[in-house]
Amino acid sequence: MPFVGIGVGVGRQRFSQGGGGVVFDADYQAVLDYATTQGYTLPSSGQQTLQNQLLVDLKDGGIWSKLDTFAVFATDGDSDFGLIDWKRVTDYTAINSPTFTTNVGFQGNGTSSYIDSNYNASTSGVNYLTGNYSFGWYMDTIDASPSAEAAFAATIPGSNWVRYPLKRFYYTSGVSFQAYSNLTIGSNQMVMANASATNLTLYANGSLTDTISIGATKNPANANFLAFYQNLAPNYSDSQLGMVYAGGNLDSQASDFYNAWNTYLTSL
Amino acid sequence: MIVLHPNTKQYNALNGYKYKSSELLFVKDGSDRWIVGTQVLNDPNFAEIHDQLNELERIEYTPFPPEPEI
Repeated sequence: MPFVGIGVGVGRQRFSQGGGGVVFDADYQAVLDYATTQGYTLPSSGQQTLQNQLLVDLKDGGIWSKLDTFAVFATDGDSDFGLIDWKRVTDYTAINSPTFTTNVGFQGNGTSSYIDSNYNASTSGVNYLTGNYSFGWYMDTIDASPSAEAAFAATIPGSNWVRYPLKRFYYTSGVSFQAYSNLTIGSNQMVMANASATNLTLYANGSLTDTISIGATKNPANANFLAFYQNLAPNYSDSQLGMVYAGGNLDSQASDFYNAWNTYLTSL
Repeated sequence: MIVLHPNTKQYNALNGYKYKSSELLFVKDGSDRWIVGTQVLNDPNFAEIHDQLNELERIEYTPFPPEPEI
């Protein structure tokens, strides 16, 4: 039976149990309410508590307020629940049926399926700004192909994209600037890419692993974010993702973000 | 790998179908043919068009040539 909540925030409290039931953080309650309205299957009661705590931890770490989009694919709710953008309280779109696995996430098929976040930084960006942005993912299983394609790519048709061919993080802005990182992308790994005015810093599981000089103007400011897809052939990935996000720069919060996510993931 | 390939009439009837958080959008393979993976046949959000999807031609997917490392 779903918990019944009321629309009030509880600050740093995990949740409170009083005579009226469980009260979640107002932002998590909004996600549950939206899912109920849409007819989606909610996570189990135990997982609702874990997800609420994840959101509270993100708030405590100063992360939540910097996010523009955030989706937790790893859930025991149904696939539609896994596609809810917690930040904007709207849906991502599953194009051509990426495979959903309970408590793990979505997996592309390598030929045609992907997830559209419906988040475009130029129209939906609040915290994501040129020279001050972050995006990333948790990858459960990396693409099986030798030339591993995109996990969660910032794409601009015919021009810019961020991806990881050959299992390395790759950044390009048009045809005039390209850079590889030394970060090796792998399974069971949370990757964060944070841009400052001149650099792109890359984190694996909360630890800084590489810095790429990208220059002041080379940012995918009007990028649309798509999982399992990039705009340069081979386009589609069969990697498996448990979480994706984008927002403002999170260099100072990289470790806290990873810890909050890892606490949730290891509790499933 | 076997994928589903529509003719023009089937493409026009099915492309852009939406239900809940799912959408069907045919994509091109390496031979410039419209295709979609067979996973759509098992998607409960596409139950309404399952019979139409099942009528699509099964063809062998043509991969894109691998991109050379820069």
